[in-house]
Amino acid sequence: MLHLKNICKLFGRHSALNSINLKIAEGEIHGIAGINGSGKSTLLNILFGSPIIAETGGYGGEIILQGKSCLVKSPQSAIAAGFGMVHQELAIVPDLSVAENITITREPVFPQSERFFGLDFALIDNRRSHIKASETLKMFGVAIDPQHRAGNLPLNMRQFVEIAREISRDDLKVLLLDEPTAVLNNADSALLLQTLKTLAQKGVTILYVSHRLDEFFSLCDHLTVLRNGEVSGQFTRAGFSHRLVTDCMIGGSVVLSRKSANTTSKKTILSLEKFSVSMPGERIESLDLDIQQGEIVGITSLSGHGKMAIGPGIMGLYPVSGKLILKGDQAGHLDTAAMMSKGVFMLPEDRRLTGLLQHQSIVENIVFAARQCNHRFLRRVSFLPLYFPDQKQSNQYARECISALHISCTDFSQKVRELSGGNQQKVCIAKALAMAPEILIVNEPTRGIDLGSKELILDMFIAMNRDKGTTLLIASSELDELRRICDRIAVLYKGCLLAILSPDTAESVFVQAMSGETPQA
Amino acid sequence: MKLRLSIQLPQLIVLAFLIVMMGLAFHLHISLTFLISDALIRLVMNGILVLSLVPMLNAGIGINYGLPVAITAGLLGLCLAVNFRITGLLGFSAALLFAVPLAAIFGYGYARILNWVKGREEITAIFIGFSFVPLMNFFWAVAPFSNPAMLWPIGGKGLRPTIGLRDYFSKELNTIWDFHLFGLTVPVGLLLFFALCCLAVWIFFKTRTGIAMIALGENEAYAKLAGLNISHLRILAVILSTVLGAIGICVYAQSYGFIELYDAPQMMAFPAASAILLGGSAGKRTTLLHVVLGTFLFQTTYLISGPIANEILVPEVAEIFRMMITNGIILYALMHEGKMKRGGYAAY
Repeated sequence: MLHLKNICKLFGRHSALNSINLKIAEGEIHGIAGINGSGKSTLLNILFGSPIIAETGGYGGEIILQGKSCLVKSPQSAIAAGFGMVHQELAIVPDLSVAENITITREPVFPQSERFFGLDFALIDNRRSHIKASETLKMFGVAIDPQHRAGNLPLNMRQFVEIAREISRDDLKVLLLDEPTAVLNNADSALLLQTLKTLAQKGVTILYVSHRLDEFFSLCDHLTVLRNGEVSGQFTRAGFSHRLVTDCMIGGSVVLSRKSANTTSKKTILSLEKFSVSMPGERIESLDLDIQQGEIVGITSLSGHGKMAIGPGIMGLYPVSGKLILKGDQAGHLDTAAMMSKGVFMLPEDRRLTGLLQHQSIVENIVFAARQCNHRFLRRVSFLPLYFPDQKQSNQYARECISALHISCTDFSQKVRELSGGNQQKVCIAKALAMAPEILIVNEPTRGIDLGSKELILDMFIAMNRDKGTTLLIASSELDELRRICDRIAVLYKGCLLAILSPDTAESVFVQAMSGETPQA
Repeated sequence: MKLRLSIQLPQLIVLAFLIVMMGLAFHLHISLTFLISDALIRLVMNGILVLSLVPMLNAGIGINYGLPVAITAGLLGLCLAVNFRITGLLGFSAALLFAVPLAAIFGYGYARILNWVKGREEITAIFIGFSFVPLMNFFWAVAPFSNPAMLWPIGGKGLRPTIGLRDYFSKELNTIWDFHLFGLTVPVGLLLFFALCCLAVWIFFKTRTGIAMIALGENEAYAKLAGLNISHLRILAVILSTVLGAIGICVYAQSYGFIELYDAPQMMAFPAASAILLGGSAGKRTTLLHVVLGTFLFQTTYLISGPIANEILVPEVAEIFRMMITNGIILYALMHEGKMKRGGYAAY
C-alpha cells in the first residue's frame, strides 16, 4: 500500500538517508528501529512533509501511496494524502479543551450555518464534537473528560489526546508515530499498543518508531532497522530476536555495564528531612531521604511524580522547604553557587537547552563551571586583579577527557552543537569531572542516547564512584539501567518516598511501587 | 585566527550604495581626501557610542536603546568641566573624570529597572530613554550652573540647548598627533583613544567575568546551573555599557565642538543600534569587528550621501535618506532575528 522508492535526504553534504526502499502492506504495523542519528526521525519528517525537509532542500526518491505517486512538500499536503503523525514533542493546544484538540480542523459544524457562511465561518457543534471525542477516547479505554482543558492534563494523558486527534480522522491511511511511549508508563503503553493493533485491523497502516525494542516484538508485523541512513536489516515477526536486532542497530554487540562490589560506607553525607520542592509539573512533598557517602542512589518514579525535582531542589533552582543537611551542617537558603562550592553538582536532563553552551567549543564547555566556581584553569596577571583563562591547561585537560571518555569529535575546539546526543552527554560528564564534585546529581542521563553510548556513560558513572568515591544520585525512568548500577533505588509516588528498594528486587515490585502500591517487606 | 566576516544582504546593499556614492562624489568633483579624513573622524566620534552597546548585547540584555541615560551622564560631566572653566586636554580629561562615576551610578539604577523587566529589556529601555530625557530637561533648565557661557544670555538662568566648546576643549583629541599626508588628515590621537577603548573591552571579555557574561548571554539556564550570580552580571554589563556610552558622548562632543542638551540625546540610540546591526551582530555574539565595520559603513554612508544629495537633489533629501537607512536597518535586523527564531526544528 505504501511504497517508498529510493528515498534520499542530504543535510548539506551529510547524507542522512541513502536510498531507502520499503514496502508496507495495508493494515500492517511496521516498526523502525535504529540508534540516534540513524535517520528514523528524518524518514518520518519526510513522510509528514515537515518544513525542515523543504528548508534544507527537499528529499529525493518517490513516495507511492495506494499506487499513486504523491509529492509531500508540507504537512498540509501530507494530511491531504492521508498521513497523520504523532510527534515526539507534543503538539497540542493547551488552552483548548480535549474535545477541541481532538477535532481540531475537522470540527463538526451546524449544517445551516455552513450553508450561509461557508465552512471557515460556520458555527461549531460542540455537542457532536464532544461525542466524537469521547468515542475516540473510548477506544483507548482511558477516562478523560472531553471538556477538560488540555493543558491541565498530565503528560501521559496529553499524549493520548494527541494520538486520539490523529486516529479520529476518517481519511487516515498511514499513521506515523515517533516514540509515542517515551512519556508513558508501562500500563499506559500497553493501552496504546492495544489501540494501535485495533486501528491496524481497521486497515490503517502504522509506521512505528521507538527506542524500546520490547514494543516492536509485541506490536510489529515487520521491523526495519536503520543504521547510518541505510537499511541494515529487515525482520518479520517470526525472526525477531533481541540480540539480532541490537547487533543490527549498532553493527556490533553491546556489553552491558554492571556495578560490582558495594563500596558504600556507613557515613551519611546528605540527608533530606521533610524536604519539599515546588517545581511546576514535578513536585516533592516532605521527602525524607538519607544518602550515604560513596553510594549510587537511583531515584525513579513515573513522570510527574517528583523524581526530576530533587536535583533542582537541592541546587536551589526552585522554591523549597524543609531541612537539608550536608556533611553534618544544615544548609540555610539553598543557592546554586553555595552548593557547588560545597561539592554538589548537577547535570540537568535537558542537555541541549540547559546543559551545554551549544555555540561554544568542547573545551570551553568542559572547563566553564570549574573556572567560574572552583577557580581552576585560570591564571592571574600579576599586577591586575583580573583572572584570565589558562588556555593551555584547559586544552590539555580537554584532550585527556576526549580520550578517556571516547568523545568522538574532530578536536577539542569543535562546537558542541555539532556533536551527537551521546557525545554531548559525555561532554557534560567531563564538565562534572572537572568540577570533581563529592555529590553528583544526574537527571535522565541516558534519555535520547543510543545503545552503545548508553553503556559507556553508565560505565563512567561507575568508574567515578569507584575511583573517586563520588556519591551519585541518578534520577531516571530507565529502571533497567538503575537496577544495574545503583546500590539502592528510591521509588517516589505523588512526590513522596514510597519505598527504597534493593536493585535485586523483582521488576514487578518496582512497577507496582511506581504505581503507588507499597511493597510487602 | 580565521576572520569571520559574514557579508550578508544588508552589508552588500550598503557597500553597493557606498561604491555608487563614491563614484558620484568623484563625478561631482567632491574632494575624496576630505571625505576620507572626515570618515576617519566620524568613525571614532560615533565608534565609542557603538562600542558601548557590546557589554549589554553579549550579556543577552539586548541592544541598549537606553543610551540616552549614558549620554546624559556624559553631558553632565562635560557641563561640569565647562562650568569650572577647565580648558584644553585637561578639560576633556576632567569631563571624563566627572562623567564616569555619574555613569556608574546612573547605570546601576538603570540596571535595576532592566532586571525588573527581564525578557522585555529592549522596549523598556526605549521608554526609559524617552522618560529620562524630559526629566533631565527639567534639570537642565533649573540646574545651578554659573558659567555665563553656558546659560541663556537673557535672564542668565538655565542652560542653553547648545553650548560651544571652542574656548574649552573643542577638537582637543582630534588634533593630538594628527598629521597630514597628501591632503589627508590622519587623527592619530583620536584613533589611538578609540583603539584603547576597544582594547579594554576586548581584554574584559577575555577575563573570567567576561566569559561568564558571554555564557549568560548565550544560555541563561546554563549560567544559572553553573552557579553564576545572574543579576550581578547583568548589572555589571549595564554599568559597563553606560560608562562607555558616557565616554562616547564626551569624545563625540569634543569632536563636534558643541554640547547638545535637552532633546538631543533622545534619538541617539538608534543610529548606534543601526550601526552595530549593520556590522552583522544580529543574533550572535558581538565582536569588535562588528563594531568597527558597522560604524564605518554606517557613518560613511551618512557622510557621503549628504553632500551628494544636496548637489543633485533638494537639500532636505539627505536627512530623509539618513532616516531611511537608520530605521530600515533596525527593522531588517528585527526581521532577521525573527527568522532565526522560527527556523528551529519544532517550527511547524
